[in-house]
Amino acid sequence: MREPVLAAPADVVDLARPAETAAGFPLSVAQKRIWSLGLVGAHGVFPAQTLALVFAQAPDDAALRALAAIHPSLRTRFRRFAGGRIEQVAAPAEELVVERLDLALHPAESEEAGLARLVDAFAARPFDLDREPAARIARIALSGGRSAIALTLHPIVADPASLRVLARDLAAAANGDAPGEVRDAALTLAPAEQAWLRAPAFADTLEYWRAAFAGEHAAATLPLKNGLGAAAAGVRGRSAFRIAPETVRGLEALGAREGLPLPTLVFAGFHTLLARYSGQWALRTGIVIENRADTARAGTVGRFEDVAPLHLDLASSASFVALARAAQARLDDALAHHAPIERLAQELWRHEGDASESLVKTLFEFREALGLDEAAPLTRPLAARADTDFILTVQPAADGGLDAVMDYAEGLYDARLVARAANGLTRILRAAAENGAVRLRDIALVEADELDWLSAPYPDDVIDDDRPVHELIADHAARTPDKVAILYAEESWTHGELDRFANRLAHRLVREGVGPEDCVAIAVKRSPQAIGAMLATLKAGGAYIPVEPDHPAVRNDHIFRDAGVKVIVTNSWLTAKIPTGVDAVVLELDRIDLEAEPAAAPETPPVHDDQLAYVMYTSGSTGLPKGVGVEHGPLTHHLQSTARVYGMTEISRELPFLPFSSDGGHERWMNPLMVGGSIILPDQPLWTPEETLAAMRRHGANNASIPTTYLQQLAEEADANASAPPMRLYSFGGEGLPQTTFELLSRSLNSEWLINGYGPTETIMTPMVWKVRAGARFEGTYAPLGWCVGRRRAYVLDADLNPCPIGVTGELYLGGEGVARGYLGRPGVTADRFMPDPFSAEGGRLYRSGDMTRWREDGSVEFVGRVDHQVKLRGFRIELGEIEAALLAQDGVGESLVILREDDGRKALVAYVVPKAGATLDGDALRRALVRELPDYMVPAAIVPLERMPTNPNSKLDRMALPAPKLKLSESVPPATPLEEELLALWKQVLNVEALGVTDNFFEIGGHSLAAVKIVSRLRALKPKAKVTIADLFNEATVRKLAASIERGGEATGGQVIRLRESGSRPMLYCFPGLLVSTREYVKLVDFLGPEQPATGFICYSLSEEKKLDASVEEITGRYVDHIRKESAGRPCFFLGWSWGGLLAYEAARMLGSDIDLRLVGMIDVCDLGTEFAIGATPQFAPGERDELQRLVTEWLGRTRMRADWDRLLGSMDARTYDQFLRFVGDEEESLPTDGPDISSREHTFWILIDNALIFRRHVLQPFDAPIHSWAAEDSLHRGLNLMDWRRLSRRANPAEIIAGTNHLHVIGSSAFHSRFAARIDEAMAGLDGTERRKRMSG
Amino acid sequence: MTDDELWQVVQDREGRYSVWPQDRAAPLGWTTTGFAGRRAACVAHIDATWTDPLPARWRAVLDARTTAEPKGSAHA
Repeated sequence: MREPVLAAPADVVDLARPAETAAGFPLSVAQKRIWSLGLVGAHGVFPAQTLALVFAQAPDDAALRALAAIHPSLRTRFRRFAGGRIEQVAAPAEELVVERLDLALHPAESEEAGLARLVDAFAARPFDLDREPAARIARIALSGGRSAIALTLHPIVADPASLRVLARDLAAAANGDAPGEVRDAALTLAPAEQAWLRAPAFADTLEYWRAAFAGEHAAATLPLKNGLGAAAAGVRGRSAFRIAPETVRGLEALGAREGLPLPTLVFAGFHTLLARYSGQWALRTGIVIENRADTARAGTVGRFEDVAPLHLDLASSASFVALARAAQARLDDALAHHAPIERLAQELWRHEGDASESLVKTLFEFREALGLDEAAPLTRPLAARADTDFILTVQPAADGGLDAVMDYAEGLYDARLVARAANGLTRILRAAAENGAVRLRDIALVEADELDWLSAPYPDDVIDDDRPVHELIADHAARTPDKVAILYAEESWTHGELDRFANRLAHRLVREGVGPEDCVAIAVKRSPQAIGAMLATLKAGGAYIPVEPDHPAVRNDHIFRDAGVKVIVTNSWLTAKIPTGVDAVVLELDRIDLEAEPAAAPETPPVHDDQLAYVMYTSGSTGLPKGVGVEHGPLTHHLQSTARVYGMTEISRELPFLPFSSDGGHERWMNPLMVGGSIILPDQPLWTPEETLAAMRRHGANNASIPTTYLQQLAEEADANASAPPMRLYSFGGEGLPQTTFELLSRSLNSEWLINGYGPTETIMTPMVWKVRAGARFEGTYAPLGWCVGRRRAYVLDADLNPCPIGVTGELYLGGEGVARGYLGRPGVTADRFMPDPFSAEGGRLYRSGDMTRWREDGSVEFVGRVDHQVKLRGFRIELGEIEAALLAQDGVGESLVILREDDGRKALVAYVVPKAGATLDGDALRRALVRELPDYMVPAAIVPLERMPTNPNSKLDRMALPAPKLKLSESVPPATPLEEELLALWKQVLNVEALGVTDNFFEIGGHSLAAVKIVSRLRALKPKAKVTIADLFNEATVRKLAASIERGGEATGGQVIRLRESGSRPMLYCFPGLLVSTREYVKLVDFLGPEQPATGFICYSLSEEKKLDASVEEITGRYVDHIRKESAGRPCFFLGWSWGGLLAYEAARMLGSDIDLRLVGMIDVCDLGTEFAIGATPQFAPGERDELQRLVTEWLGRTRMRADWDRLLGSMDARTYDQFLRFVGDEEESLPTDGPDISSREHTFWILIDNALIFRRHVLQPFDAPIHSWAAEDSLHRGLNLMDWRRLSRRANPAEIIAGTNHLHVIGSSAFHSRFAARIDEAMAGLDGTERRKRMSG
Repeated sequence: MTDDELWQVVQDREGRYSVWPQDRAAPLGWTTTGFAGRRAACVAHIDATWTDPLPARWRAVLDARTTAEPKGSAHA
C-alpha cells in the first residue's frame, strides 16, 4: 500500500492560516527529529499519545477549552517557512474543536469493546501537521449518562508522561476545579535548549560522555536471529507479558529496605537478562527518562522525554542488590550529565569506524501509572517508541502487578526467543523479590523439565546388550560365518575368516603378556589385517592404539612411550618406521606364523565395563598428542545406540572413508560388522571421487561415511556427472558444514538420509548426530550438530555453568555414560576437562568441549565456533569460524584461516586461503565477495592466498609462520617512460609519499578526490593537449595506465564519467555525486551489488574544472542527461543520488522523462534546499549584531587570499541575500576560514557551499512521478535535517527507510544500506522480468 | 566464572578427581577433598594426588583376581 500523496505544493509554503499572527517558536532537538521522521514518512517511530477516560459526569466543552487554554500543546499548529524552517504556534483556545463520536455498537458488542474500537480508530487517524493542530479531542456518549473523553496528541507535542498530566487535569476539570496557570514550557523550550547546548558547560558534559563511551561496553542486545539479510525495516514485533503483583510486592519491600525505587530494580532485572542472554557483562543500555525534574516541566504537556545511556560492568558474581545499587548510582550520574541522546549519537558517530552501529540498541522504559481515582481510564496497549531495535516498556497495572511489553524489530529478533526472554525476566524478578542478595549467576533461566528435554538424546528405548563390541562381532562369525564382512581391493573376507584371524593373533598377544589395561599399538595401514589386529587386542583383554605408519616418527615414538605399549603390531616393511629403543614386542604380521595358533577365541576373564578398550591420540593445538582412553561399557553401548540411530542391519554395506587416526573411523567399521553387515574398505588413503563412486556402485554400498572435507569433492563430481549411486545414508563430520555444501550434498548424492556427525574424541566417537532426509534445510552458518546418541546428555552452558536458554550461545558439555576415562597419564588435564555433572542425580562427569553452541528451537544443538576462536575487535565479538566458513563457500577456496593480527600496534583481521587443486585465488576479489556476506567489522582487512598453510613438524598449523599481509607499496615498479616518470613525480609530490610505483592504485595509496583535482590541474598545465579529467584519473588509477591513455591520445582521455563497473547483465546504475565528493564513495556499494551490476558515476560539479559562477541546475544536470540519453538508448536503468546528488538525480530523471526506461531512483539522505538562502526568507539579527557581523566579514576579506573569488561571489548577491550570508556567518560555530584557495582547504569548501546555495535557491523542483525509494541516516533524523519528502513530488515515491547507527557522511558505506538497496534493485528487477514476460506473452 | 575465582578439588565414588567452584556445593555423587585454591593450583594438586587412573570398582576386580590366583596364570 502506498501512502497517500500529500497535496501540498512543493515550493515555499506557509499553511498555518489560523494563527498567522501568533508568536512562533522554533522546534526543540527532539521535535526536529520527529518532524524529520514525518518528512520521510516514518510516522510509526514515535507513536501518538492517546488517552481515553470514562466519566460519570464528563467536563463540558467550555471546561475542555479552559483546559486547552492552560495547555498550549492541545492547540499547537506548525508552520513551514521558505526553505523548510518550521515554527510552532499555539492557536487560540476558543478554536478548540471537540469532536462528537457516535458509539455505533456492532451486534453483540459490549459497550466497552465498542468504545475501545472507536478510540483505536480515533487514535489511528494520521495527523496532517501542515493543516491541522497536533492534538484531537473527542467526546463519546455512553449508556447511563456517562461519557468518555478521548485525546490523541501527535508525539511532537506530547510524551507518555504528558498523558499523566492530562488525565489528572481532566479529572480535576470533571470535578469542577478551576484550571491553573498556563504551562508553556514545552512550546518555548527550543531557545533555552539551544543556549544550553552551546554553553561552555555543555562541553564538559560531552567530555563526560566521551569518557563513558571509551569503555569496552557493548551495546546490549538479545541474540539476533539467523539469516538477517535484507530484513524489512520498520516492521515491529511485540511480546506482552505481566509481572505478578506478588513479585512487585517483594521488589517494593526490597526497594524500601535498600532505598531503591521500583524502576531501578526492574531495570536491574532487565540488565541481568541482557547479560545472561549475551554472555557479556559490560553493557550499554538506554534508559528512557522523563526529563521533567524542572518544576516548570512537571505539569506540562510536551515532549521532554529523552534517553540516557547507562554503562554497567558488574560481574555475574555480584548480587542483585549490588547491581541495582550500581545502576541507581550510574543513572544519577547520567542524569547529572544529561545531554540529548541525539547529540550523544553525533558525538559517537564522528568516526567512520564507529558509525556502523547504534549508540544503544536496547531501551528500558518504566512508565508511571496514570494514577486516577475518579475517572476510569480505558486500558490501551502500551505503545512504545520504536527508535531502537528493542525496547522493554513497563507500567504498573491496576492489580498491583506490572504490564510489560517487549517491542522489537521483527527483522532482527526471533519472536520465540523474545517470548522466552520475557519469561526469563519474570523469573529473574521473582528470584530477586524472594532474595535480593541472590547472585546474578545463581538465577536459573531454564526449568528442570525444559533442560531435561533440551539435553535428551535421540529417543531410544531398546535395552543394550552389555557384551563388549568384539563379542558382538564374533557372534556373527558363529551365526553367518560365510557372509562377507570386508571387501578390500580384490580381497573378500568373511565374518568367519576375520574372526579366525583375530582369534589366532589374540592367542599370540596373550602369550606376549597382553591382558587388561595393556596397550597394543596397531601400526598397520587401513586394511582387514588392521581390523583383525584390533579385534585380537580386544579379545586378549588389552586396549588397542591405532598408529598411522605414515605419521612422523617423532609423533609415533611419543605414542609408544607415553602409552607404554606392550606390543607393536606392524608389517615387516614398516619396521623401519618404528623407533628403536622402545620397550615393546614388535609383531610383524607378514612374518609371524599364525596358522599354528588356535582358531577359537582365547579364554580370558570376562571384560569389565570399566576395562580399557582403546586409546586414541589426539593432537591439541599446543604440546604433544594426548592419549584418550575409552572403556568397554560406554563403547559397546555407544555403538549399539548408534547402530539403531543409523538404522544399521545385516544388509548394511558401508564404505567407511574416515581414517583410522580418528575414532569416528573405527565406529564406522565396528557398526556394520557388529550387526552382521559388511564394509568396503578403501585400499588407499585417498581415492579420487570417481574411484569412490565406482567402488560404491560396484560393491552395492548402501551407507558411506566420509570426512566433510572430502565430501565436497565427491559431491561436486557426482553433481557434474550425475554419477552418484542410490544410497540409503551418508554420514559425515569433522568440520563445520556450511549451508552451501549441505545443499550440494543433498542435491547430488542421491541418498535417502544424511547424517552430520559431531564429537570430540573425549566423548567417544560420534556422540551427537543430526539425521535428516536429503533436501532438509537449516538456518544458520553450519549444519546443526543435532542431538546426542545413547546414554548421554548434551548441555549448552554459560561461563557460570548455567544452562543457556534456546538461542543463547554457550559452551557445549557432554555427559552421561558416553565419555572417555580421561587422558592417559594426565590426571590434572583430565580433571580440568572432565568436570562433575551437576545435572545428574547419580554422579557422573561432563566433558567441556571447547565448542561454542546454542540450542535451536527443536532442541538440537547448533555449532557457533570454537571457544578459543572468538576475538574482540572494536567492541565486536567476532567468531573467526564464521568468516572462515564464508571464505570456504567461495569458489576455489580449499582451506581458510582467519586470525586477529597485531602488526605495529594495529589490530586487524587477516585471512589466509589455500586454493583447491587447479584453482587460483585473488585476495581482493575474495574480499569484495565477503563484503556481500558479512558485516563490515567481520570483513578481513587483507586476504592472503598461500600455496599451503605453514605447518610445524607435528603437522599442526604454525601460526608464527603466517606471513604479515604485504603492503602494496613494498614492490614499487619504477617508471619505464619519460611520461611515467613525470607523472610519478607529480603523484609523489601531491600525495607526499616517496615509495611509490607506477602500478600502485591511486586510491589504495591514500589518494582522494581533492588530491585528484590537484593532480589533474597540474597535469593540464603540463599536458594541455591531453585534456585529462578527474574521470580519467579515476578510471586509469595507476601512473602506468594513465600515462598509456595520454599517450594513446584522441578520445582516450577527456572522459566525463567514472566507470565503476563496466560490464554486467543488469541495467546500468547511474550514481550522482554529492557536493564535494568524488563518486569513489559508491565503490563499496557497487562491490556489494556484485559482478552483474554495471555502474557509472558522474563527477561532482564542484570538482570539475569547468565550473563557472552562476551555473544553473539544468546546466549541471544537462551534462549527465546527455550521457545517459546517449548510452541507455531506451534500455532500463537505475539512478542513485546521495545528498545533493539526489536533487541532481531527480532533475536528470525529470529532464529525461520518457526518453529513458528508468526503473528505480534511489535517494540517500537527500536534504531539501537549505533555509539560510531561501528566497523570501528574511534573516533576523539581534540589536547591533548585523553591524558586528559586517565588521567581521570586512576584516576577514582583508586577510583572505581568495579575496577575488569572494568579491565575485558576494558581488552577485542582492541586499537581502547578503544579509542571509551575514546571518549564515553568524550561525557558523567556527571562525571564518582563511586557508584557501587550495582545493582541500576549509575556505574553498566554504566558498563551494555558498556558491551552491546560490545555484539552488533559484531552483524550483517540479512534480514528476519518478519511481523513488529513499533512505535516511539515523543521525540526519537526530539532527532534524530538512530531509526531502519525495512523496510531495512523485506519486511513485515510498516513505524512506531509516539506516540506523550511521550519519550523512558514512551512510553510503553502511552495509545495512547496501543490503537494503540491493533488495530494492532485486524488486525492480523482478518487476522488470514480469513486464518483459508480459510483453513476450502479448507479442 | 573466571579462573581467578576459587575452586575446590572434588572426588567421585570411583576415585575420579575434578574441580568445582568453591562457592557451590559439590554435585550429587561427588565429595570435597578439602583442597581449594586457584583453578591451576587445584589442577596441580590433582596431578600430584591422582595416581591410579582406574575406576575403583574395576581396580577392586583386578585386585581380587591377583589375590585369588597365583601370578602368571591370570588367563587360565
